[in-house]
Parts: sequence; structure tokens; C-alpha cells
Amino acid sequence: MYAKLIAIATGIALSIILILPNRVVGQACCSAGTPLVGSLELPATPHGSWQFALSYDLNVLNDVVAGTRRLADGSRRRTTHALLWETSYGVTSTLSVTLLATAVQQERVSTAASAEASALRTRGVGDAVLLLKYALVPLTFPAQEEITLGAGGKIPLGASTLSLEGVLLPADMQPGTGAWDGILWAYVSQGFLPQAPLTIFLTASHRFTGTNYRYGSQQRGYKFGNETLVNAGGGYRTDEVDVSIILRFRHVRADRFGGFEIPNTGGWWLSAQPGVNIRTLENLSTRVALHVPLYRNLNGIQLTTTYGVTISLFYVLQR
Amino acid sequence: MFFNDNGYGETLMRYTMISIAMSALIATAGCQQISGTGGISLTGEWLIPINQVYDGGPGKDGIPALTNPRFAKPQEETYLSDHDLVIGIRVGTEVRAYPHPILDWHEIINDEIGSTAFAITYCPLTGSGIAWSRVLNGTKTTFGVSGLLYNTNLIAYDRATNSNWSQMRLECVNGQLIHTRATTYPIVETTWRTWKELYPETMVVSSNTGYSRPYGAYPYGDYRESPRLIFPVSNDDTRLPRKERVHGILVDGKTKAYRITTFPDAVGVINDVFNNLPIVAAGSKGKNVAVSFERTLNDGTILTFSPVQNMLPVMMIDQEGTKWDIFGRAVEGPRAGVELKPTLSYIAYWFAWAAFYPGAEIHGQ
Repeated sequence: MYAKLIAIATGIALSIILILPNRVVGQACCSAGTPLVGSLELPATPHGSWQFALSYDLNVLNDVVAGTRRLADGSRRRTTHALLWETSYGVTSTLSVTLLATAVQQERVSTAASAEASALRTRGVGDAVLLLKYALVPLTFPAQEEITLGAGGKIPLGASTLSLEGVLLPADMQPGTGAWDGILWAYVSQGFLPQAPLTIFLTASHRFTGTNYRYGSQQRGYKFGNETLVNAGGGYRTDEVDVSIILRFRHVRADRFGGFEIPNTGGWWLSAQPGVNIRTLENLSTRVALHVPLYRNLNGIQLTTTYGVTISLFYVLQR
Repeated sequence: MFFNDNGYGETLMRYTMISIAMSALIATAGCQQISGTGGISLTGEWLIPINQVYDGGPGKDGIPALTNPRFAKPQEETYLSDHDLVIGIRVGTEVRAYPHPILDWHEIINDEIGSTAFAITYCPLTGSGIAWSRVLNGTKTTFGVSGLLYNTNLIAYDRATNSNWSQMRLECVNGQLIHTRATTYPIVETTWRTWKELYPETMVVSSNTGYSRPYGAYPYGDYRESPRLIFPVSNDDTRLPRKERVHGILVDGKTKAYRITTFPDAVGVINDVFNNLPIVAAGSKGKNVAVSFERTLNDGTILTFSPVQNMLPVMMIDQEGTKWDIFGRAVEGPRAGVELKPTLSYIAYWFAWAAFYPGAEIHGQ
């Protein structure tokens, strides 16, 4: 009963978040935005089955970091709320297709002026990802190992040219990136039952970013930096609850405008993501994960993640 | 499984998932929205094309201006190197230096010497440094960084009326004070070494600003040396390298640029007439400095200048034998005590001059 209440409460909480005015979702994948590619978490889907993951992602960016040094700067706050809806279908026993749709709210608050007057929020449908996955080594028992490779692209569904009274807002305040990206993805896992209810896994992805023309077709293009993500983690399973810890390495190249690198963009980040996964029904589970920065080495000076929280519901609809 | 599914639980959760998904669709479908303004005042008439005004990213006051900063003696500050550029001002006998390494991080310093209240404004992206009055319609105020850029140049705002001021246009371009021209003060922009040679008694802005910033580090990578731009500009003039620093003069809507790199290493003087106005430009490539003044005195005399070497801050001598310093003050000779009228001028990167003033004349070309 306890777990059922948690599941229902999570669902209600997500619903409230969704319908609150000015309270949800948007953007995609710049250094200040939503972890779009990083949210591709579902492994290969069994033939004929559906997998769904609905996540709310909160990214609080209050740290001003110059290189590796965190500066004491309370002059602004940035927050990204994102809703990510991942649907995966097993086309064959080895091939599955995944669609990740997003919606984003970006929020910027200058604390130097009066707080109420200085908040700026944008929201809207964010970019989407379409990914084909091929299970090179499908998950079987008792081997308990899986190797899945994926390839696809990011579809620029989100607006990238929102303007305020005619003033084009910066790229990191837009719901979308305005560019098509290519994505390579890989997932490897190994279970250790019956010796231990333990699974270790590794996901890796690389995003080849395209160019957008947010300043108009007569201007040179703007290109977000290519992004590489590696998540290495492990999960320990009990009868009711899984606990997991993920180490995330993220590298982003500097953005470019007119072929030249933009200062104060790009860098690399190392973070930890402890999480708890509660299985509420046969096919349903709830997960809460924190995002804790461990180390970052950024180009120039940047506003970056202070902490993050992700709340997810996973559901499997079997054939 | 956490509890035995009797069918009811799973059905409930399916409906929960569906309702959440439907809520998501309802909440997001077709609702690209913007709320709030970030505190930025944008409404009303603009003197510049609004579609060429960009939000730079940090937001209003995201780059914090300084007000009444602490000052230190040159030997008390270690964050400056000799080749760093400073903006120097002299009011009466008081001399102060506002280093680029501070201005790169704050862009505006609101200061006051005696009864003279002024703002040192500096845009790192256009390399333009200008001092202007902070007294507007008789009211003393301060300026802040709006977070907006036009032609990749600073748009400041005044805290009295929240009006927006285009730095390189020297004009309020939006808000209650629209069409108001900035009242500028003469400054000298040169290297820290040169400034200390000119005025050893100078005070300099302390690195103890109340903000945590790595003042010894330039925040824009190789931007100063690279041809790259971060935001679009309305006119890209390739006659000179984009980031070449030029001393530009405005006379009745026409502009002329003097290349600092074409002055000799020692002091050089150019007696010129631009747009029917006799002017003199004095500069030194070696000292990385250029200034300019009108050559016509109040009595109608038009002076002709020659350079003076090794006597800084004295830079020029006229045909009557009066010696003039870098701020245009007659320090020795028959007109001692007289001051030349400074031109309306400032130093900026060439690309920015060309963007703001298309067709600008270049001296020597």
C-alpha cells in the first residue's frame, strides 16, 4: 500500500507541475538546458512491447564558475524545468525505436534588481529525439548482459527565436536549439544474479550538432558545441526498492558563431546521480534521482548546475 | 512486485499515466510563452532597430556595475600588468585610473570626484571606453548594465528612469529620456605603465570590489586578438582588421577614424581639418594612446601643433610656443592655463566604428 501511495503521489505531483501556469518545461540541450540526450535511459525494448518513461527534470543553475573555481556571485539565478516523455517500441527482438519528446520552461532571475520584476520565463515544446536501437547482445537469462547500439537524430521542434518585445532572447533561454543534430548512442549492462542483485551499466552518447540561423538567414550560423556523455553506474535491487548511483561525465565543445568559437561556452563536467527506484506494480516503477556536481572545468566563466532533481515514472506494456 | 495486482491497481496506474500524458499535451501544445521581462524595459519607441538589439545572456544587472568603488595606490595592487589598458580621468588635481581588467567584468563604474558625478562605461565586446555624466535633468543617478546589446555594444540603463542608453551612439535610445545626448568627459585610454609615468600620483580601482572575480583573467578568451564576433553587426567593414583599436571622432554626424598603430612609437601629431573643423590628433603607437582636440581657441586663433618628445604628459607645442598636455591643457608658454576643447571622440574596435558609423573616413586612406 505504501508503494502504491508513492506512485499515485508522484503521478499527482507531475500532473500538478504540468498544469500549473508558467510552471513547466521547455528547451533542449545547450550547456544551460535540459539533458536531452542524457535522458535517453531506456535500454532495448522487447519485441512487441512498449516502454514509457515520463520524467520531470529540474536543473538549478546558480553556480558561477570560472574554469574550476566557483565564484561567489548571487546576482542571478537560472532554472530549467523540463518534461521528458520517452516512448520506445520493440519492432523485432533486436530492433527498437525510441522517441523522446520534451517541453521546457527556462527561467532567469536577476537578483540585483527587484526580484519580482526581474524574472523572465520562457516555455514551450522543446526539441525531440528519434533513435533506432539495435540489440547487439539482447538481454537474456542467465547471461544477464546486454549491449545495445543506437543512432538517430535530434529534431528541432522547439522554438529557437523567441523574442521579448522584438528583442531576440539568448540561445539558452529558448525552448529549442533550431538545429538538426546527429546522435550515436550505446548501452551496456551486466547483471550478477544469483550471486548478488546487482547490475552495472554504461551508457555513452555523442551528439553531432548542426547549425541554426537564429539571427536570420542573412547572418552566419550559430552552432552549439558537440556533446559527449558517458554514464557509468550500478543498481542494487531489493524486493521493493532499487538504489542506484551513476557517475556522469559530460564534455561539450565551445559553441561557434560565424565559424569562430564563442567564449565562455563548453567545458567538461563530472557529476554523481544517486537515485532510488521504487517498483510499485509489475510494470510500473518510480524513480527519484539527484544530480550533484562533483567537478567541472569550464571554458571561461559560466553559469552552471548547482543541483538537479529528476522524478520519473517508467511503465512497460508487454505484448 | 510491491503489491499483488488484482487488476484494479494496474488499471489505476494506466489511467494515471494516460492522464499525465494528456496533461502534458494540454499544457504544452501550442503554448510557447514568455512571461516577465527580466526587469528589462523594452516598451516604447526605439531610436535603433529593435530587431538588431540582442539579449546578451546574463540579463539585467547580470554584469554588475560598480558604484563608488574603493581605490588604491598603484603599488598596492598586483592584479595589473604594465601592458593592461586603463581609462584615466583627471578632475581638478585628482587623477584616477579605471583598468580594463576591472571593466571587463563590470562594464560600468559609477564614480564621483568632488561635485563631478560620472560613469565610466566600457564595452569589452567593442573595446569602447567612454565617461559620461550621471546627472540627468538635474538629478544624480547611477547607470547599470541592461544586458542588451546593439551592434554587439553595451546598452546601459539609468536607474532614475530605467531608460536605455546606447554607449557608442552616446544617446538615450529608449525610455523616458529618449533623444537625450550623453554629456561626456575627456578621458585618456592607455597602458597602465604609461598612465603611471604620466601621473605617478594616480589612484586605481582596487580589486576589492565586493565581487568575487578573477580580475587578472580576461573573460573572453582570445576575443581581443581574433576577428571573431559574438553577435551580429549591421555593417561589416573590412577596410581594417576588425579588432584594430582606432580613435574615432564625430563631427556633426560624420566620423573619422585615426589608427593608433599608424602613430609613431614616439609622440606623433596630426593637424587636420575634418568636416570643416580644425582638429589635432596626438598619439603614440608605443604608448598605445591617442587623443584629439579642436584647434580653434575661443579668440578665433587656429593653432598648429608639433609633437613634443620625452616630456609626458606634455605631448604638443603650438606655433606660439605653448606646450599642451595629454588632456589638452596649456601647461607652459603664453597660453598657460588655457584648455583645448576636446573633440567628441573615443577609442573602439574598428568593426564597431564601422557598424555604428558606416562610411567612416579613415585617416590616411
